[in-house]
Amino acid sequence: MRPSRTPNPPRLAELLLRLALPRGLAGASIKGDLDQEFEESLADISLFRARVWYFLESLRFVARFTGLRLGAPFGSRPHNPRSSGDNFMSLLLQDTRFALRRLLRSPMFSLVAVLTLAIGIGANTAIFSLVNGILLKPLPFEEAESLISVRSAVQLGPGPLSKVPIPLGVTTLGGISFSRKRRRGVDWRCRLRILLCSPRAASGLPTPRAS
Amino acid sequence: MPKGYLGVFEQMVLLAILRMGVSAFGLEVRREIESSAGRKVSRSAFYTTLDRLEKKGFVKWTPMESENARRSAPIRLFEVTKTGLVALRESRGALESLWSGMDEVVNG
Repeated sequence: MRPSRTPNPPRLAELLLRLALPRGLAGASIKGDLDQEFEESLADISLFRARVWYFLESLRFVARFTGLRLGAPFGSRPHNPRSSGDNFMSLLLQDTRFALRRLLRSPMFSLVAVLTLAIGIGANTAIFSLVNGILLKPLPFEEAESLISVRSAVQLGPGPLSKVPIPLGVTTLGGISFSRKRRRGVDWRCRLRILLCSPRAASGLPTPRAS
Repeated sequence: MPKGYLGVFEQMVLLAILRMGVSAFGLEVRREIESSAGRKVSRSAFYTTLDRLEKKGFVKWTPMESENARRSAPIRLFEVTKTGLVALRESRGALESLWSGMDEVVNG
C-alpha cells in the first residue's frame, strides 16, 4: 500500500516567501510555522481552500516584509521631522518609499489602479495612432496640400456636370481613371476620377501602371 | 534605557511571551494573543513585530528542534530581555498614571 503523502503548499507562494522572508533561521522558522498551520488546516478545510489561504498569506508576508525593507512600516519608527539639511533627492526618495509601501499594503487596489492606467493609456494610444494616420500626418508628397482629387460621375444622357474650382498653381494632371459601376440602384455608366496637383507634387507621385 | 516606546500590539506580544514561558514559540505566542485578546492577529504583522522587537533589543530567541516529526524547519523559543522588561514596566507606568482618576470619566 502506498503511504499517503502530505500535500504541498503552492510552489509560487513558497517562492514568494523565500524572496520576502529574512534569510537564515528566522526566515526558515517563520515559513515552518506557516507550513505547520497549512498542514493543520487540512483537517478542517479542503486542500483547495488551504492552498488559497496559504497563497494569500504569502502575499501578506511579501507586502509586510518588502515594505519593511523599503522603510519601516507605519508607526514603527519614531517620527523624524525633515531637517533643513534635507535636499530635494532625499525628499523624493522618502516620498517614493512611502508610495511603494502604501501600494504594497493594499495589493488589490494597486492591481486595479495599474489595470485602469494600462487600459486608459492603451486606448488613448490606439485612438491617437488612428487620428494621426488619417488626419494629422501629411501625405508623403511635396506640396501635398495642392493635391486635388476630383470625382465625378457622369451619367450617359442629358444631365448637369459638376464644376470643381481649381486653385492657383495647380497646373499638372496627376492622373485620370475611369470606371463603370452600378451603385445604389443607378447604373453609372462612366465614373471619372481626376487627380490634379502642382508640378512639384506630381514629381513625388507613383508612376501609373501600364494597362 | 529602552530604545523607543512600546505600541499596544508590542506590549501584547511581550506579555504573551512572558505568559507562555518555556513554550513561547512563534505559533503558540500568536495563538495566546488571539485567545487572550479575543481577536484575530495577522501573521505577517505578528512576525514583523517580533522582528522589530528583536531589533530594539526587547526580545531574543533560541532556535530549537520541533517535536513535530513532520516539521523539518526549526522553531524559535522567544524570551523577553531585561531591556524589554524595563520598557514594559515604563509603558505600564505611563498608562497607569494616565488612567489614574479617569475611571469615573470613562465609565460615565
